[in-house]
Amino acid sequence: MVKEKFKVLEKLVTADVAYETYGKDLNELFSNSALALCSAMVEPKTVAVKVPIKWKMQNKDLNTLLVDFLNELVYYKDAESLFLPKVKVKVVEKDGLYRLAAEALGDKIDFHKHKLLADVKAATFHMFAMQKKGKAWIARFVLDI
Amino acid sequence: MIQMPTTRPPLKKISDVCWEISPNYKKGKPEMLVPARIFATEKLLNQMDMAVFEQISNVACLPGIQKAAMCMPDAHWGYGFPIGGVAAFDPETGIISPGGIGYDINCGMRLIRTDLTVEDVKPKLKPLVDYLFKTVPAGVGAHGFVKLTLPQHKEVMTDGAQWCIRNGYGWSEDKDRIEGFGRIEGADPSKVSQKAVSRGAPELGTLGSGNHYLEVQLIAAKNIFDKQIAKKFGLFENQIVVMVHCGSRGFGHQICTDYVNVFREKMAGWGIKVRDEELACAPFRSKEAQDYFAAMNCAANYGFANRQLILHRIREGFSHIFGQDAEKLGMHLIYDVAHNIAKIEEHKIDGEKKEVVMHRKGATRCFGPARKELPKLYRETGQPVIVGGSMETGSYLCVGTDEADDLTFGSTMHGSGRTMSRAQAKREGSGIDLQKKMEKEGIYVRSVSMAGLAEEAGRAYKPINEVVDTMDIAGVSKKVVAFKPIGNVKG
Repeated sequence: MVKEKFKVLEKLVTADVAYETYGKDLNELFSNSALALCSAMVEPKTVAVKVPIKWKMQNKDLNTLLVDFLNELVYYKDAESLFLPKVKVKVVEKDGLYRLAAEALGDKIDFHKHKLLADVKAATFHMFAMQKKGKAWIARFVLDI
Repeated sequence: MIQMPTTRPPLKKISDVCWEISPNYKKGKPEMLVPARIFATEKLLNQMDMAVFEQISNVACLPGIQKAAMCMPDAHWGYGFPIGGVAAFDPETGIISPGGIGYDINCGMRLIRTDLTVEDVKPKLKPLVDYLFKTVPAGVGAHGFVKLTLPQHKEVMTDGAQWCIRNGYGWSEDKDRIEGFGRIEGADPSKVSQKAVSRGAPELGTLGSGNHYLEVQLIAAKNIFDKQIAKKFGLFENQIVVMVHCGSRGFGHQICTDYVNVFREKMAGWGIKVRDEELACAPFRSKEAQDYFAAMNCAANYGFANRQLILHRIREGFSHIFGQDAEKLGMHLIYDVAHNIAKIEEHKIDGEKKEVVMHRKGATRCFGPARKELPKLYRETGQPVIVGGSMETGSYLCVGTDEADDLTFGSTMHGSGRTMSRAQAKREGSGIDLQKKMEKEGIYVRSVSMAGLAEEAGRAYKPINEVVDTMDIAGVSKKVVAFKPIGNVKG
């Protein structure tokens, strides 16, 4: 059975889109959250994974790190015209500081090739939640459309 | 974590269209400092998200809030503030909050008249809409037709629509027909992040997606409510007008994201407690607040410039299809309003005039004839108020009244307000089916995304007539004309 990576929370918001995302560890939670965000903007299966992008970021607060990470993907969508459905993430905590390294693969936005959906303005802290359940992680976030 | 509320707080009836939540509703820290007022008919009140009542009560707890936290009849759940939220803060003791303005800074509406009638346009409607769909960039990742250098981008940030007019993208009369003359003072590009600049540069002159659109609309005879004012605005029976709804694109979104982060980190140090993380705010006189205000004004100017460039493309499109100059087609701008913005304004509070930091989020300024901020053109009628409905049900033009100053700090509704989730709207009908249904109803739609189109179906929104009537009965904004869509371009 394929494990669910994320689901849309339909009843949480009206004008925007809310997701619940899952991961067997923190790294997978971030990767699956990136895929959820991408799926709000485009059908991910229509996006090739060929353009590589790497970045690093850090924060003392894990919640803020996830929201910042998602907003980084929103930034690449506008500034570099890139959809990035596949992101390999490594999050390491040391002395209360979370450091993130991301290696993403995606594609330049193409109106003919991609099945486009909604433009995401931002990932928000509205109704945000992130929790560890045993070894696995679960997050909830709302995207402003 | 915030839970979805299931009950409504006690409401006191002030009038048939105004309801009040007492400051006693929220005690403890922080407590409500003023009442919350909701403008709605009983029917709209019963349809409102429960969260609206919680959110507007939370706004009433923010430092320095004046008189009352207010909700317009199209209110629904937003981030921090509800959409349709209006609040004024004392500049000395109060705050500024990006959550009271929205991610899409200076999202707004623009209305353009023409001399054309429905008989002129109907035979050419499809080529017209197809042409506008081709020339006005829309949808995720769309790029604008003006390539900006960094110095030019900075000029857009400080000069707004006036930069466009100076550079040939508009008529000199246009600036009198834009809120704040299309240029808000106090914009400082040095307060804008490099990320916002990178997101904004390619997107100037684009519509975006979601509920943003460009619409060709018709004035039916039965939809003229104030013949005298309609005539003064150059509006008549069977006439074709064009309406645009969009904002400051990724530029404004990034500025909001940047400063929500700054304020979240600093709030504890300022001793400010809020009931919702998205109500992150800063004391208005702090350096951080002033930096945000200066950056927000850059986004406000970008928003005006964005809609000005789209107007330029609309004039070109009509000129191309009808073989006449836009001037000859009488394509004057009626007005451009911002409905996500903060401004310094003067209002009467406890009988005395006072400067306040006015927040409007999904709410439109609706100044009456007495306000000195209005151009000469509208000093008899009051400010035009453009209210965008769903793409199936139609839109409105109203005018502000002098009474609005006292009732709502000169503010009114901005649209019809969503009631159905995007996922549910998609489940209830596909974009292609909706496109066919609308074509049968006489509305020709072109959309970059069929899924996006399905999400914007008319049934996903509140009945706009009741929303507009609420504020008409309240004496805040009076109905002038209603518009029916016949052509629509969306992202």
